[in-house]
Amino acid sequence: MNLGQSLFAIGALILLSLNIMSVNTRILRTDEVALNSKIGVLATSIGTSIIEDASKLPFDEKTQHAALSDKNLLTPSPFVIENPGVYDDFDDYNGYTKTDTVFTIPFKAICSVDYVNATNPDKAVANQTWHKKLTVKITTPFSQDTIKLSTIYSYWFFR
Amino acid sequence: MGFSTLIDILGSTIIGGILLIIVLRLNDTATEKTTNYGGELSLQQNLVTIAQIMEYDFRKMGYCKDWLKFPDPKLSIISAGKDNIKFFADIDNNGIMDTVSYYIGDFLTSTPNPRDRYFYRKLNNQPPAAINLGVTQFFLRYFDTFGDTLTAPVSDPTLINSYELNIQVETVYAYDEQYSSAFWKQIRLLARNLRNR
Repeated sequence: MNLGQSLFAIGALILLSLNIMSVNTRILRTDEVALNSKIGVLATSIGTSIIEDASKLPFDEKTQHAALSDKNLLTPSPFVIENPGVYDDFDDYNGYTKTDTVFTIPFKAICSVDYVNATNPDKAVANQTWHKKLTVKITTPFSQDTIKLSTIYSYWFFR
Repeated sequence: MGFSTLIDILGSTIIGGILLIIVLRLNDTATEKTTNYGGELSLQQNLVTIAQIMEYDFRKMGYCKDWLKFPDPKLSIISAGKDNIKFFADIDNNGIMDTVSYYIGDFLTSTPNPRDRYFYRKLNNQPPAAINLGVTQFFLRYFDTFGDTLTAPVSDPTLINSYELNIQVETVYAYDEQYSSAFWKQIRLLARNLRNR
């Protein structure tokens, strides 16, 4: 085999190696996307469960036993849990964290609660309003993405 | 033909054989992955479909357009089993309470996956609609007002304050019997508490 043939053979091997590496990279990336997607479903189910749990609670500490007509009497933000470990109103979920493991995949959910205005619910406001927004962020070391879910809970009184 | 030529032919044959094996292996992997990704896609679509159907029904649990016909949401659940549930809901929003049941059935023999089962939704007295979307597990957990777990089947469904739905779906067909699975669970309230909020 002369030098030219050797060079052609080496060139062909390099091309084949690059092609195989490229295919492997694509396969691994697609695997990662598929796994992220599955993890996303699980994270979403954890987040919606937390939202559902919080939604069963009264709107505010002050509205647990009596109706309220003045929003200035509501608990001011930032919210601090009144009785640690006892979640008895919606804003107690501010700073709430929960860890859950599903199929050996650990998840961590971190919650925050803020007052928002009905006209611009994406922006937290410092003053008391009739609307509170719960944001749940779910992370896992198995995925780079953070799933963020939120809900708005408004005060209502059943007569 | 000299000795060096023989060595050349033998060497190139061996290297060529190795390259051929690599290419065949690559082709096999590509086929496997293509099948798996297709399966994953339909698997997640199936799970979303089931979740959407169940979300639609379960969020109406205890709801009636004419609330006077069903004033006490505590009575929403008729029976609460480990892998079945029956409840009242005004599904079509016409002011008439419907009875909805969900339960898991027998293993499917018509698919290669040995674990997938029929999943049934029954509305009133209609024949049950069998859903064949690769459901392998469907189980429920029930909790009382204090968050304590109630043993299923729950003898007194009025004690139920919230419940957890769990569904596992697997691909119906798989390459080399490597079935993919996806899981969905959700805690839901029986009904919003109509107290002073």
